[in-house]
Amino acid sequence: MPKVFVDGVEVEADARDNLIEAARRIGVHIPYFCYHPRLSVAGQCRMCLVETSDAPGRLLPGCQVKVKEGMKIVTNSPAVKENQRGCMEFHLVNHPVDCAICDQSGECKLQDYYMDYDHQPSRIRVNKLNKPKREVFGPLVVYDAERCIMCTRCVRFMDEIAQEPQLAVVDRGSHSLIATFPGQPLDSNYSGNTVDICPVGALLNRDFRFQSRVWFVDKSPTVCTGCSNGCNVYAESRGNLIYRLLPRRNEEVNQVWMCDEGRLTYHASNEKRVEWGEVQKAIELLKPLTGKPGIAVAISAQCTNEEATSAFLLGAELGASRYFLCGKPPGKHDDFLVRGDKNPNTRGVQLAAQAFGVTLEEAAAIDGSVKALVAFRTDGLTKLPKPPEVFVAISQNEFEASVVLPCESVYEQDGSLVNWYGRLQRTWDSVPAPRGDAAPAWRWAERILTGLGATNGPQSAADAFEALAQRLPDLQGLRFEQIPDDGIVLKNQLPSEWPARAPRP
Amino acid sequence: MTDSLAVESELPTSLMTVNLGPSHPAMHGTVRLTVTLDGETIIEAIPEIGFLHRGFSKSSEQSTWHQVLPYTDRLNYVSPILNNVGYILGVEKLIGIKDTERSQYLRVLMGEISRITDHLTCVGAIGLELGAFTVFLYAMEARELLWDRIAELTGARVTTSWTRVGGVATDMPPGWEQKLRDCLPRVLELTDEIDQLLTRNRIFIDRTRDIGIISAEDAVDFGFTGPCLRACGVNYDVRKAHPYLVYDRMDFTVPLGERGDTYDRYVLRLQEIKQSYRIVLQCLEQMPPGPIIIDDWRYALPPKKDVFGSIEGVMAHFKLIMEGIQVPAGEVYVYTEGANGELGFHLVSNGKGKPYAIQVRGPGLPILSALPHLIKGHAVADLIPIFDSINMIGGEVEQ
Amino acid sequence: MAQALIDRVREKFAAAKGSSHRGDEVVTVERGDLVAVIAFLRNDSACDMKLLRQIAAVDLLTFAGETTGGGSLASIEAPAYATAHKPQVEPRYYVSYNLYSITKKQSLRVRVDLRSDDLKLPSIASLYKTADWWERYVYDMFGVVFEGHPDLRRLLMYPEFVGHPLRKDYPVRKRQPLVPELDFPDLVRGPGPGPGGAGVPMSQTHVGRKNVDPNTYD
Repeated sequence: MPKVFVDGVEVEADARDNLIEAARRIGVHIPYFCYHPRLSVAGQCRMCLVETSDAPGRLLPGCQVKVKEGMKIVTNSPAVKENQRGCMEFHLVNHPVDCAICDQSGECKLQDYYMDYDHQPSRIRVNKLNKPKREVFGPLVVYDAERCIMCTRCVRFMDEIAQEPQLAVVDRGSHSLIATFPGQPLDSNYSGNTVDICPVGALLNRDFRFQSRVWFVDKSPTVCTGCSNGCNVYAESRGNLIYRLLPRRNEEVNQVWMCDEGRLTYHASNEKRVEWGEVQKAIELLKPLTGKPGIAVAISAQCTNEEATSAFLLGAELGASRYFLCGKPPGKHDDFLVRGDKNPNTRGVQLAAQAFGVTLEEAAAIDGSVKALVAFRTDGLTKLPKPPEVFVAISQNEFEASVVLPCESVYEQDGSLVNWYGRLQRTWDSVPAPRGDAAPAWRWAERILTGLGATNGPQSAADAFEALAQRLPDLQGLRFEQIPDDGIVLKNQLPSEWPARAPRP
Repeated sequence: MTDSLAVESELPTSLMTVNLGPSHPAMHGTVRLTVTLDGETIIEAIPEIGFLHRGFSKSSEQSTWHQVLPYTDRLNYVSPILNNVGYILGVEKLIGIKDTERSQYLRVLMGEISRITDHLTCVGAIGLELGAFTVFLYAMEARELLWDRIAELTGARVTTSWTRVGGVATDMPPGWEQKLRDCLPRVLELTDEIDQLLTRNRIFIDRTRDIGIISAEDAVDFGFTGPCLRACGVNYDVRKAHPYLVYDRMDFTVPLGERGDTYDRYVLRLQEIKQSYRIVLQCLEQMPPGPIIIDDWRYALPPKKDVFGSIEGVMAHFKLIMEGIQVPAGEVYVYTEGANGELGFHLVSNGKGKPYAIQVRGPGLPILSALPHLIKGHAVADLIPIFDSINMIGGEVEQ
Repeated sequence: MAQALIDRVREKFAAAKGSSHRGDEVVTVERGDLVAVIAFLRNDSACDMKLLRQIAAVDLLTFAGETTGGGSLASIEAPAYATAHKPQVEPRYYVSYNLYSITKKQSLRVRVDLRSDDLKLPSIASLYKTADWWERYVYDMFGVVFEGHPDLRRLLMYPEFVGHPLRKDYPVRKRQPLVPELDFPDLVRGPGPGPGGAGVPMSQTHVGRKNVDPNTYD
């Protein structure tokens, strides 16, 4: 553990640290554009230049130089400040006056560093260079060459992390651009991450472009529902709409990345939602059938653990004879973050079934013997050959059934999910405004249970989790509020085989 | 023949509790007084406030440093420029910058005009509620003349929001100085008329002399500052004790009272109007030409041609408006002489563009808390002049 | 110049710590010493701090906020081996007594740190009459209980108010429960809904009477 001095303060640094990381340990911020802790070092922007005792009279790039025992780093000398001011001036020489229409406003490194390190008026008196604007690179990414500062973070990301080298730098000098190979789109499943790491508004997310300004939305942590990897995300929302999903750091699940399919999952939470439903009608339909044969409960693998638990509690009360596991059909997988199972909580529902001593059948097995079906989320149930007579569907999106009760999306409720390798993760309510009467499925189960005269309906997500934890040895003694923010690994569930580059605990 | 007084003393009586409720013509700015009376004598008076609490502190935590300025206008709403100046001095102290010289003179000039309007309102109200409606109208005419000048310079009569970090928003329009010089003698003339009508008026003296007396020691203990404290003879004026802006270059005296009664509080305010007039004239003489706001884009908005023409300008404008001025973390208490006393702002910053916590030390709050002490033993009719003379402004007491 | 004041306080109370920012001096004391320190500052002839200007309180719950700048993803631009930094939040509150000496022209703030599970302070209402309302204000807004206060109740909010508004975890747009209308037994009410009244609107008292003179209330 080498000890270095940053602006006179002693810091105990890690041997792997470069000067930027060493300074970050005591809260000193050395500005940078092209450096990213998870990408190779480019040393292109020259913004991180600092003075060191190693090279007196010269400035060294803080991103390239690693710490040495006893090194003295100075980040606030006049030379360093003049370099920072000069770098900003150069970066802004050809930068278009786009702040008013650029999506990156409010989260733009140029804006932030300009106010912190430059704040001088411009000195140029000639016209700025014009380059192609709004070039569509791929299904999710659009490129504005005038705003690009050629930091090459996107190129390095596609080369090293996504391992699909679809971007490159073309042309020279002030005319350089980022481009794809002629005729080839930027269609990698990880292209959205280039938008996240772009420090300026050059690469933008086509799905989010012009939808909202970033300071209007509130950021809230949750877990992606696109596949069973359970990437940790931030959902940015306002009112009752989600505007975008951003990756959240979790070294053991998704590092700091997420895939493009996952980024689009919030549309299901915004569009074609069911908002109103009459639970009384559901109770009236189900009450006379309680205890009779032919009742079944279908639980989607998109449900949270709490919703699945309440499904089994309701099934027990109704005397259900068959339980079905439905969900989205499987899709492509890869060796990094994307899993073939496109449901976030298959493991969780299976664990809950095990806890309640129930066998789950496939949704395809729903046949004429099912007279009454209570469905907790309706993924995979849209094309039933013969829908049952009594069909109570707790559904998030529009659906045809005898009674449809509005279900909150996973992004709108506090709950927990178990990912493909057995990591229990929390979700939080990320949407501040209510949507009609939508409630988590466990609340509908509780209302139906109360209508049927039972008292064991869960009053809260913590209650439902408690009902699950009591019955599962893996979760014994764990309370809902105690689930750590970045999840907890259920050791007995760890698989033996891992995809080549998937993050692991 | 029985002695009528003896009869009266044997009559069964009981104490009466009367509610001078928040909506009351004599209750400036919604204060509720629950008064227990024995006949006409006040045995006890319990004030209840909170009817004008608008959540200034909580709202300012959600706004940027500049967005708080309109909230400060509404604190002491009869002298809003003094609130603006006090608050911005606090922000500038936290950042560690000073405004330009011309802006300092402008702030003092407009501040003193605001002070005159506040005192005119108070004196007019004292006259009005003791039945001297003419006095009120004279005070209003004088106040209108001054508010017209304020409106011509800042753009608004009352909700001025005129100061900015590092300076002020607007400068004197052409011809304004001459208009001001023309209207000030009329203001003084009207003040003298009020003086002649009330100061040696037998009825007025009877109603205000020795009414609502407070000793100097009690006044300090109750937290009095400003005219109410100086009426007791304590010489504490922030402008003299800890000069700020350009008050150290101004030649003015601080009038002091002797008895701490309502009459002294009234006379003091009239004399302060005259002193403020002197300061205004000196400001007009001494004011240098120059910029009214500093030229640092970390704090002051860039000129519009740069905002629309250069990326630096639009970025600076954007960050200042959306995120606010980044004020270094720290805690500071800045105090100025408001019209009613020491107006203090306790500002806490956590390094961001929004205040972390603001708490206003409104001069009216301690004075209002002493109201029971002031009126105990007096008659109900005395409640009115006492309450007027303390000039409680609901906005600054209750934020 | 107030450094001399801090030194005098530290002579007598060794646990006190002084600090200064932008010319404002603050001395931080323990809760147990608070009344003694303030009494000393008030009564000592060299300090003579007879004017208590304000009692302010601050809730530090969100002081170390989200990092702005560098993009909303700045918090995740840390190397893989870096551990996440969680700011500590206790002691969560501090109360600041702002004292002034008119004769000596000196200011000093006395600060006490408080934990959220132990939100109590001794009252100084016996030392300064103005402390009465300031302590009620701090109690109203933050929930700090002042022991020994003659009449500790809310100052600005109504008595049925739930919560302490200036705490950082009190949401800005929080709604309060509705309060039923109070009944004033001595109050004579005219026609109208509500307790103690006739219970019916004025117009309905005239149902059936066609030629009603609006100028008389019959």
